[in-house]
Amino acid sequence: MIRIAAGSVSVGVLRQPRRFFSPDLRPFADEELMALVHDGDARAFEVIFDRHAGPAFSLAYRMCGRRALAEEIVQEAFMSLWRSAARYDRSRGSVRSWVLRVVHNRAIDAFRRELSTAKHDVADDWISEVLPARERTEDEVERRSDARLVRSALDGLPPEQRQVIELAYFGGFSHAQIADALGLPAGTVKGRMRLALSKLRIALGEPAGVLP
Amino acid sequence: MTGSEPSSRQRNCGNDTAPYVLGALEPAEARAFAHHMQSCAMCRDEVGALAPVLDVLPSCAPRYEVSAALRRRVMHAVRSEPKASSSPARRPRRSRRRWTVRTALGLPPLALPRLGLPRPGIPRPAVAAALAVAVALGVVIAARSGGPPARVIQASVGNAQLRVAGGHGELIVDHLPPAPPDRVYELWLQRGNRTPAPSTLFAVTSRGTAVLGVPADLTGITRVLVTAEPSGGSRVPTTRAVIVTRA
Repeated sequence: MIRIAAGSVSVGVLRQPRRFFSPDLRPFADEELMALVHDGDARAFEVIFDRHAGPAFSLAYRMCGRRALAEEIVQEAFMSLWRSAARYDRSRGSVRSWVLRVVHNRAIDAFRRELSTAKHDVADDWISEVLPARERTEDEVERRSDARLVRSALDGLPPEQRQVIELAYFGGFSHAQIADALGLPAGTVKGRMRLALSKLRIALGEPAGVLP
Repeated sequence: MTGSEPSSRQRNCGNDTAPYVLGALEPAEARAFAHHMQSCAMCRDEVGALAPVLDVLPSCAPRYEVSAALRRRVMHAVRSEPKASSSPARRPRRSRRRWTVRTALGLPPLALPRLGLPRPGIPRPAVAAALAVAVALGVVIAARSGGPPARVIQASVGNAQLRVAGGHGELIVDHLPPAPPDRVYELWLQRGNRTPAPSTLFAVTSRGTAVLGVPADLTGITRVLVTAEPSGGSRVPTTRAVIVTRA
């Protein structure tokens, strides 16, 4: 027993065999891991990558339809996360949301830089190499349940509203491009986007009070 | 609506909220709308209300596995790229400690006592029964690339790691059971044979983990300890240390 003088109180600790301790970071919460990533901990980053790279790649692939470009976008997004972990602000959302926003923005940037030609209508020669993800954990099962809920909400939209959401969010098209493609006034496209997001918000359980 | 700020909503400006949230405005339009939101509380609130939908939309995408090759590429790039994480843009250590610790606890911000000063409102606790929990602590004083040589100190007990690098330090705790009811974990820094000085209060997650900041400069600190103390903390340790190491 080690006795440590602590004023009038003695503090003791049980003696245990000395051993090297290297924590398994997998049980740590994302926010804790981000603190370590911020400090340059590649192991913590690896856990973050393993947790969120699947959804990130899925979103990128859904948006660009090409494996190589999707991987490029995901790699850029995660390297951005590694370099700028200090910018992560927990009060503004989860790590996953942050990662997905970065992926989404980078995909749009890629589209607008025209890194990809005919990205939306070219068949993916690599599709056979992209395997559907397996359900491996309870968390994943829960996420898939949430995904079904979101898909159901999206499917519940009028077709013309769902169309503009898919073109804008997953397609990376601007409202002007959508208006041009559909032969609609820009105001109509914007209005449909607004109605669609408002309905999705309500369908997903958010209160309807704020929106006019 | 945000507070009593008057709205300066212009005609139809609300039609830009959804395209803005979706990233469907052209870059110049997006900049102009962001500027507009600074003075239009209605648009700002509407964007705030719509934005959470964007957090769930990605789940509609079919799920695919990440290739092993991509994982290798990313991790290789990460390990080969020095991280300038101690840049001036980094968060203040104290604020991070608070969100990792106080927020997890659901406690209001705590004014930590300075060494040797009594903390008003905290009763001097009676000598409490020693806690049965004992965990091992490993101390790693690691240096980042370009920093001083790493110093690794093996501690006697526990699942914890102290890292000091780049001008700040962290105590990473794992497999520590939740503090007993009406108790909270308290970190202590001890100099020589002096009474340990209280540093911060913290709780572990449901997984038994915690990451909390410690002073970067451990000069003169001979021991780092963690004890379970009555809610609100103590001025001196009152229970057996569950984490302790020589620094």
